[in-house]
Amino acid sequence: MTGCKPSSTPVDTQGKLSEAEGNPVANPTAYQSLAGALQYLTFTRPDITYPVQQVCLHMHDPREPALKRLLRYLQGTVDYGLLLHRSPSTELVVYTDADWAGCPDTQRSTSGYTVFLGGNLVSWSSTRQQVVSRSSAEAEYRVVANGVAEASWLRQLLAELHMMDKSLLAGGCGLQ
Amino acid sequence: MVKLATVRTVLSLALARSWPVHHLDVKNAFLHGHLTETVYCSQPAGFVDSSRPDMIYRLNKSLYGLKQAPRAWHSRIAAFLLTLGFVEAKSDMSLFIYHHGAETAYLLLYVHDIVLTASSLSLLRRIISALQQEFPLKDLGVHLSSITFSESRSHC
Repeated sequence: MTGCKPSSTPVDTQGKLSEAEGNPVANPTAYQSLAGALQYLTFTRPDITYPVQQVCLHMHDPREPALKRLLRYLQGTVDYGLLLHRSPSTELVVYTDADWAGCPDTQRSTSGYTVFLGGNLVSWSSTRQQVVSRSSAEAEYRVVANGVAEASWLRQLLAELHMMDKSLLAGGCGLQ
Repeated sequence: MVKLATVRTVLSLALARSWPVHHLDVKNAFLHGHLTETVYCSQPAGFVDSSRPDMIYRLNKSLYGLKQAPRAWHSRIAAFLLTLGFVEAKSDMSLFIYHHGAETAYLLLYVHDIVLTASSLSLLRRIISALQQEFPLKDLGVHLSSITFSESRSHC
């Protein structure tokens, strides 16, 4: 894959792959090992957190398309990292979103949140929800709860770091 | 294990206050832990005492590969940091906070890797030299791969 053509996006935006879609990979162990290694890359690459999470959903029966697309994206973006700006603010801002019944095999929803501290991205997550949500509101409030829990943990951390002057917490979620 | 959000929070606070950040590495970390349990070990091949080949060792300190090793090492360094005046953070086991008067330092511990930042260069140097007297230490300076600061640091 070292000579592959770069892709401008890390994942197919049309929809998620179901279990039996695409060709099985020739070497499942190599896929699993690569997917494990990519989880380390998400430490400084929020842009691939969602595609890596999707790749990891197929560990038991690896298929080609998702991982290949992600590797082609990485080919063009190997110099990406995390940029921290000098910011005097300790305001925490949380954004959350969920798709509703995004997983084609289980009808479960996918959660995503990001937490910014004074404009710097410090925490983010992309996970498939544990239970089936019966409405988009259900899917959304589950991820709001997780995002707020992360932010209150960060507030506690900031208090311990003697950084909490005024405990500001702002948020936005994907609900219309 | 240290939460990555803690690392990014501490680095972004250090950047906001223009504090020096150093990356330290403890050599042979797992050999420094003291064992509280009884662990025996056979004589290693090539180092068998010919007069007493049937005897075995009882270990005082931990070795790589022991299931006790990571915990023994963490207890050892945590106890030492407490003697320096650090406090273990409640929100993250791997974060140690030094806060005395106007002086503040944050220490992040990931097995044998340490990220240390302090409100002044003299405090940072004092802590590093105290650590060096207790453990063999490699000071990797300000090298932190993949995390970029948007402005160049004035002092390191």
